[in-house]
Amino acid sequence: MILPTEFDQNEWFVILGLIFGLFIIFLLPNRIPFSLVILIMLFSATTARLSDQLLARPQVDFYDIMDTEKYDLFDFLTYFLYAPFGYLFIYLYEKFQIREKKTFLYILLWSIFGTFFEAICTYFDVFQYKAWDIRYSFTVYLGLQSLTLLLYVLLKRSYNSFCKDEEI
Amino acid sequence: MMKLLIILNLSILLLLFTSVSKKKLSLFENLFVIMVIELFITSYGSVLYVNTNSWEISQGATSMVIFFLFETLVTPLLYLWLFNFYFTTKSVGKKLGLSVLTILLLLSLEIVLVKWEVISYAKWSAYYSLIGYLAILLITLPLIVLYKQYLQKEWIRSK
Repeated sequence: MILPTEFDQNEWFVILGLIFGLFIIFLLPNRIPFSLVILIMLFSATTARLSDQLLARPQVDFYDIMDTEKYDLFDFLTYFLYAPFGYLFIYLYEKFQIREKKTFLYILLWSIFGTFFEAICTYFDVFQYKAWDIRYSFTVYLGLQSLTLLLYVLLKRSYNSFCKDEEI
Repeated sequence: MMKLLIILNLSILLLLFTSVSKKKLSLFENLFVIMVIELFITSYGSVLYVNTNSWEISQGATSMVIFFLFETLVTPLLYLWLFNFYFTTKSVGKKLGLSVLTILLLLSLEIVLVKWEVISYAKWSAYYSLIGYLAILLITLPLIVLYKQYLQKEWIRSK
């Protein structure tokens, strides 16, 4: 994997974002079993990777990530920016006991927040749009947040059926 | 178009078979395996055809879809099957045999894609791919072992 051509604001943004993300994970009290947290964070990183693989690959090329069209080390690290994002999404869902109709509003608000977060990333040159528009990202987040929550609910059910004494 | 249909049918059948069959690993472990493999295999692919241009992917929607299915669905599912058998087999010989078989199967599929002119090698040979698939296996294996151990500890703790 190649290194960035210039170490500037986008690399610093990714590094500081990762530190901030780790800080959030360790600072928040344990509300969800860590085995589940790992899967949710991995899911967020993997879906971000797969979305880019589909939308930013050379044949499609809607946008570039970081400095070049190449796949550099910081492209890879960018995906882990989404891991704490996914964790916080699930954490607050549990903390505020969001259920039924509130879930709809919750996903909608997080999709707006996700789009806003991407706009900040774009401001710091993490993403460089070619044939992409920030409005399209909202639709992507709407789908992915719903999938994340669906996965969490399924995993939680599976965890609870296995560890009946310690239900989440 | 026939090539696309073949890979599409293969992907759907593999996905169906994986969904309905009883697996040796738990849901948590299976999800962990598939996501780690997705991250590694797509990164490995990008290094080859974006960074080093060792592979060239043919232009055109059909080739792109065929390669995307191979990279993001067929390959991770085959690794998933390998790990499901790997952790239930006690014998080292069988573990080794299964790993060799999976890697050869992946390589054969890759060679089919080369024959179909979906991928063309430039500064690359099938032997390198053999090493690549083995490297992914060796990097992923300890991560899965660690996650399995953690999961066992957590589930035992909660009992």
